[in-house]
Amino acid sequence: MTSAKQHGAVMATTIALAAIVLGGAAAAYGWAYARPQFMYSYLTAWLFWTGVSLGSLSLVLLHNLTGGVWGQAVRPLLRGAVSLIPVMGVFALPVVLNPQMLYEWADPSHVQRDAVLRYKQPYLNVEFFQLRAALYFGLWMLLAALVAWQGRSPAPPDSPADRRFRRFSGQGVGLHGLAVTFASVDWMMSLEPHWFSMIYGVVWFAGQGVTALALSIVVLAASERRDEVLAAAGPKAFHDLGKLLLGFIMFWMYVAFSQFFIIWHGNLPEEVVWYNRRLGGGWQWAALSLAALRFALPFLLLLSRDLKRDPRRLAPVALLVFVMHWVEIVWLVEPAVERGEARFVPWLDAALTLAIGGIWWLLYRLFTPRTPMEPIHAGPAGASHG
Amino acid sequence: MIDQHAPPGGAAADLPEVYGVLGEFTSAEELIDAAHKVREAGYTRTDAFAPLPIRGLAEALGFHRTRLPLIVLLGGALGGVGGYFMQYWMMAVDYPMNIGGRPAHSWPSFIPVTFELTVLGAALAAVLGMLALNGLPRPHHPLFNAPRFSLASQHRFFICIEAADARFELENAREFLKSIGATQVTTVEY
Repeated sequence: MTSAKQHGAVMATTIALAAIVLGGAAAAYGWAYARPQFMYSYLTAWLFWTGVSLGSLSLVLLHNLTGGVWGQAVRPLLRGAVSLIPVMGVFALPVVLNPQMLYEWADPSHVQRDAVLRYKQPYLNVEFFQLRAALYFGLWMLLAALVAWQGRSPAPPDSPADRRFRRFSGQGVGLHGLAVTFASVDWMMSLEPHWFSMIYGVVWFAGQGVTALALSIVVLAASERRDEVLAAAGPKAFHDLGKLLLGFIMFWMYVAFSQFFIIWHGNLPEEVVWYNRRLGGGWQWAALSLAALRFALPFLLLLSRDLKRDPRRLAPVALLVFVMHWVEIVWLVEPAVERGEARFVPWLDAALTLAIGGIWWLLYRLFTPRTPMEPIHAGPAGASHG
Repeated sequence: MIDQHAPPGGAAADLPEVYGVLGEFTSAEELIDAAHKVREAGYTRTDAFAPLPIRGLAEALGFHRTRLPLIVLLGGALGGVGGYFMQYWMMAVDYPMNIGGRPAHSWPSFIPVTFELTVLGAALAAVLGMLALNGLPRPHHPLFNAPRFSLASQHRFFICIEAADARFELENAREFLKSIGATQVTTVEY
């Protein structure tokens, strides 16, 4: 049993190394073959993996405030993903240092010809963009350091230390929400700098939470900790994780549809362009797959109590949700690009996602404390609401 | 829903009709232990009463699934499908109107109402289905005839084997409850 799991861990490491080598090679070829798209593919890959770490941070802060067996079960995994935030800050450098390769507002000659961009220049300019990125990562690294500190010195419930962690989590989750909202505007929404949507940041925020939870469920179900969790809390821990996944999926669909619905209803030229690009030219299939495979199918499957309580059946659903978040990021970023004659090269996005993902995965395994795991307290309070 | 009240009149009218036998226990551990034994003895129409929630009690007694989730699912599906086609029929068939130049069958504008009616259908099905399955509201229950049953909300634990059980035989059931450690056994009458 143990050897099978060690075998699984070795295989995961091998796959990660293969992903780095093959993804890196394909990315290098893409650099030569499809240069104009390279930075956008890099942006996609970086945003996807950064989102997993940021979503994990949201969940840890949230769990500090709410408590519950679900969080105790996945907490070490979430902390591992949170500790990768500084690494994602390093991966941010190609984007933050070269905004003119991605964003038309960073091109002075373009801004000269565009009255709207001249008007938006006090916010959308290179220096302020870089300063803001530094502020976001500064905040996230501070919160990540606090989360790591909490991991090193676990506090018993309702101790002064526990209350202190809860206080910083309450303030932290608010600041974190603001940072994610502004970051979504800077890094994604400003790809089409004329367009704006108030709920855009919430859609990304919700997507991050779904994705971080989905990955934690997959890793937990495949790790030796699964049996520990089942022994301490029974199937309830997975039941709760499944219920949360269902709730987050519904929240994501709710806000994503709200944005579409309001823009569709208003039918204003400056607003509908965003959806015209994303619901035409082949991208409608990506949108349809998001509605079907990121919402409808997982939603129907997760209605089943038996499925949620069985890690072996819950994990594949979570994996589907995780992969579909990547499709969402591609669908958010790539249609924004003015390609002229050039065509979208899907494999370049996949190659860079695999290359960065392989590195992310190896460090995640390294940073995730494997033993000793935090004990699971499943008292009557934990059992009563289920 | 099974009517647990005795049929009025009839041949057995002069005999006291028995609802079941009630065994009293002094601790949660004893109750769980007894619940296991009751289940192992093959009784299926049973219930347990305790002043506090006890983990694993329902499983020990062999608590079976209800059909409520299926009822809720059907209620939600009915609400959603019905809500969508109600709008479709009104907006595209019965009384089409030009709203902002949109097609009569504009599905995005039907989604919010469809969503709400799905929730409404599921919620109503949950409440009404729950009431239909458990027989509430119910102002009186035969168990209240057992004098010490009120202690179930204080410091005593009870198991009831109902007369509706296929294996129920009054004296055997009483003896059985005593043999598994009940401090008192009461025959509950209607």
